[in-house]
Amino acid sequence: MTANGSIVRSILRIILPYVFVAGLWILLSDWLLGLLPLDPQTLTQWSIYKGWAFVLVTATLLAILLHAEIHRRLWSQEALHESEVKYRTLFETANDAIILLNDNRFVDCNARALALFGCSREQFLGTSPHMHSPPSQPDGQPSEVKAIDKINQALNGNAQFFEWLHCRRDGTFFTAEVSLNRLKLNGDILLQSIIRDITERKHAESAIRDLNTRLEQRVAERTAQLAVAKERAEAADRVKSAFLATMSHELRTPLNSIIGFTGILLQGLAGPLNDEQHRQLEMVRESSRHLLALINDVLDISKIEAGQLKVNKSPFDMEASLRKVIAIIKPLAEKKGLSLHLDIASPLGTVWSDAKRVEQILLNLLNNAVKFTDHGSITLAAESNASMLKFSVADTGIGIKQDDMASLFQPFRQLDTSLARLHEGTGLGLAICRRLTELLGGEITVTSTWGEGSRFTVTLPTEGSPS
Amino acid sequence: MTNPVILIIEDNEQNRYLTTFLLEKNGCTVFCAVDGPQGIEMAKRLQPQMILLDIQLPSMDGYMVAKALRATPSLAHTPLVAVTSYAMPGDREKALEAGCDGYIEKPINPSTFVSEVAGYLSPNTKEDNA
Repeated sequence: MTANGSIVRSILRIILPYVFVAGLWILLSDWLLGLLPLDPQTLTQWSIYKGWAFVLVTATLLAILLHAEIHRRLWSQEALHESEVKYRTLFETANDAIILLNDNRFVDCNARALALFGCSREQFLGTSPHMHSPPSQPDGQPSEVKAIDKINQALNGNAQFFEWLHCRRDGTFFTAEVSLNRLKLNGDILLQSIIRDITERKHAESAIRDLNTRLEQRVAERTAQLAVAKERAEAADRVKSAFLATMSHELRTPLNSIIGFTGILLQGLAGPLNDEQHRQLEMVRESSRHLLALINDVLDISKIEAGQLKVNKSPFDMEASLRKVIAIIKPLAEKKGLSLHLDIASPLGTVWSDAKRVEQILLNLLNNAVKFTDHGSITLAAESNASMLKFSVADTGIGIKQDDMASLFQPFRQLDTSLARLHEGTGLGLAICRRLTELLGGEITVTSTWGEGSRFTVTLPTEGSPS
Repeated sequence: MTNPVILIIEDNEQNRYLTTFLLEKNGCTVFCAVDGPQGIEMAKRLQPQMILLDIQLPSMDGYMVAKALRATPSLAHTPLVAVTSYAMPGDREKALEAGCDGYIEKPINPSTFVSEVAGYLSPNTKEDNA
């Protein structure tokens, strides 16, 4: 029909201009001749010329029109052919299978489609999509029902895009991404189906999923291991704490009897003592007090190491604390004939720290000073500014050798083992001082000249105190 | 104080003897219980002027005993002092929380122990929980 139409249009394109020119010629030529003042004989002669001229002009016109029309048609056919080749090439060389469906049947396809399904053109065209699918899709729906549903939806104008499990002619499967689009071709409504094999992508995806799962498993396993390790560490910590508490109790209980009964005997509550008994019991008391100090120091350092010793910062009167420790140390200093000085540069006022621990540090340092000084004096000096509290304990004692400075604050390092016999001590005092100072956020330093004396300086922050 | 009656709840025989000796020498009338249940029973029966309580006791610990004593109306205000060799952080607070009025750490100081105890004997003397 369209071909016939095109011929009719071609004929009309030739005939109409011919009829127009010929008609004009006939109408105008006789009228023009009539205007000329010619005698009848000449007129006849001119009419014959005019007839010949008419044939010549219209024939030429006809020739031009025919030529133009033929050219036009040739050119348009060539363009059509070129376009056909171009689109066919696009169609055939596409990387995806492109198939045309008419009424659930394949009516055309590209080479890629045949390669994908492993069929020849004859085997493929005329078949339906579900014939190239397993009986049911992975979601359990029968392939035929699902395919027809998708096709109908596409025919209703809803372009479809979905995954589909296809099978080849040789029975192997492949997962495809399918798009279905409705199109009109030569008056027919067809479906264009583009099928892309995504098996490899699926494999890659599943590999990534597997990898992820394995990774998650490993993370979970590792987390579980860490949780177990943490649990063990915490259990060990609890055991350590329980051990410390038990040790504290078990060591103090017998000491309670020793110190208690010695005290009772020395007070004469159990009857009179002679001088020798009194002297020996004094020795028992001294030793038991020393043992108690040792136990307290060991427990203190253990508590600090176990992170159980907490400092409680609150405002307190620093000068009162200084006077308190001086009062405790004074009898010991006097016993050895040492003078004890308290030197406060400027009013210290209220400071923000842990009074009990600051006093413990001071007592330890002063005790050491008394212990290692035989002549001269001990001076406790203190000063403060807006953010720091500084106090120092200086003595005129035996001093510390340069080589011993490094290990001075290590636990159980009373420096000279021969000294240990002269100066009873746990060797823990300075280690405790350093740990406590650190807990309070400060630092402890020492300067000393062997044979001349030592000076321990403690610097503590008092920042964060509410003004 | 004229012969105040003091109940000691303590499982260690030597410590029991020591405390009893010191207090009796200073004019107190002392009764002893060796564990929590016996201590509670004796406290109810004797209505002592003061109870000295060890914390580490077999089966029923001192904290539980303190709570039980405080839950008894007739003993709710009897001075109750923990005498204990627990000296870990928080032990004092735990004892006071359980209802004790005071806390004396073992080993006791024999020259000051009696006066410390006497300090808790006067009514309404609660240790300053510092």
